[in-house]
Amino acid sequence: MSLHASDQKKMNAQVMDDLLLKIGQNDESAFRKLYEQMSSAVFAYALSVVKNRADAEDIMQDTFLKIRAAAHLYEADGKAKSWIFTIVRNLCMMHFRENRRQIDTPADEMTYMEDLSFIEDHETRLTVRSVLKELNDEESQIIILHAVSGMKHREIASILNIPLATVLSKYHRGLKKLRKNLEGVIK
Amino acid sequence: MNRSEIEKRISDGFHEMTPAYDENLFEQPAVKAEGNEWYLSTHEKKKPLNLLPGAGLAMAAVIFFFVQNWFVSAATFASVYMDVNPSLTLKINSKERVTSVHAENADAERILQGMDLRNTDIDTAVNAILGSMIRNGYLYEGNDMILLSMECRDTQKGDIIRQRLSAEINDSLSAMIGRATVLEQQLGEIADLEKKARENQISLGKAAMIAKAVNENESLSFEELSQMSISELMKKLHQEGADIDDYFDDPEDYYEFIYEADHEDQDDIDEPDDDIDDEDDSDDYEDDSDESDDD
Repeated sequence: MSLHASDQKKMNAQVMDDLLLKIGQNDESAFRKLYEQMSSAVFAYALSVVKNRADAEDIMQDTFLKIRAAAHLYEADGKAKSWIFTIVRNLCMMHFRENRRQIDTPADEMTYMEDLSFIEDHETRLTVRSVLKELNDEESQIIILHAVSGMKHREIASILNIPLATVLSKYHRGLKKLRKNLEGVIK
Repeated sequence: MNRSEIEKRISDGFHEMTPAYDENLFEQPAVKAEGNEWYLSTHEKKKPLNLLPGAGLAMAAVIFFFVQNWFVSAATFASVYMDVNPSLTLKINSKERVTSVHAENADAERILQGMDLRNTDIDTAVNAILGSMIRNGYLYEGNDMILLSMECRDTQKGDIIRQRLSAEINDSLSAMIGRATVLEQQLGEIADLEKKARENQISLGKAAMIAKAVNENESLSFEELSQMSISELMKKLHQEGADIDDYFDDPEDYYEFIYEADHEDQDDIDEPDDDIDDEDDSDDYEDDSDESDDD
């Protein structure tokens, strides 16, 4: 397990609550730590929704600005990730409202491969490409939230406002699609 | 590729793509929110998380113990039973140090080979046993279920120890094999089960679980259920309609378990999305919050 992925799982609720409390008191060190722990999950989710790297980066940056602005309002109840992803999701929704014409424009193959060029390992790149391209929107969002942020299925259900059973169903279906797509391509 | 490998690649890939921290983020002015901002609005109330106590993730690969010379109280304060397919019983004293370990079956003897856990603290002993179970192929992704049972003179303290051990097992297995399903029970009156447990080569913990199921459903056979691993046993009990959710401390684990048990034989991935399909996705982005300016 990579260091950052295991850190996600170790980043327990209490630690997250403490970081948000300190960010509410304008603590840059806490803000940086939160960024290091949550930025990849926030970015990944935004990318799965908006399907454009530049827009996903903007949303990610905006998310952390909003976190800074609103951290003092966060009530420490062990739900920091849910609170953060509520912000991300609302920003994605606003992005779509402001850029309505882009919804029906499919991301073409070249755009995806350029967006994924940052990933050095070929097999990892193929896996991420499969998540973004081969799964439907909810399957990819659910799997990304689970894999990158370590969120539990019921937290994901709450954020996406869909039943837990649907989350479980789409998660498992998405995994099967990924396995089928990647077998023979990845050892 | 198994699930944890896929998820690791996904996590690694997005980590590489994510822009590094930019100090400008903190230097930009941020107007303090007042609480009614559109970006903070939620869609439904959240349920409280079932938080597990924090615990270390490190697992000893091999633990070597030497016989101690100083006196350790042998009085049994509590018994800890661990069942996967191996069944083990650990006795601990009031200082939570292991006074004896007993393998209830041949699989457990294999697990304990080369280990002397006497006078070890229970947390270390449990982690060592988990490590051995993984190395010997009893626990792996796809078979990650373990039953942790406890019998303690002091019920309150027993609860604390059991919950702590459950959290550590969960963390350790999750770190090592990607997933963990820890079933828990606190045992009450079990004296009359000792003979049956011994005859069937299982721990008192597993015997108590089976006895409860057989009492509720006479068609079940104690001996037949004894032969099953904990995973197989739970699937069988679920099929028979037994109430098993009480064994799951984390509801998430229960939901995952029954979903997988009910869909075990399904291999179709091309079934249509009959709950939400792409046409309806745009509905998710309909503005149902107040329009307000960004801050």
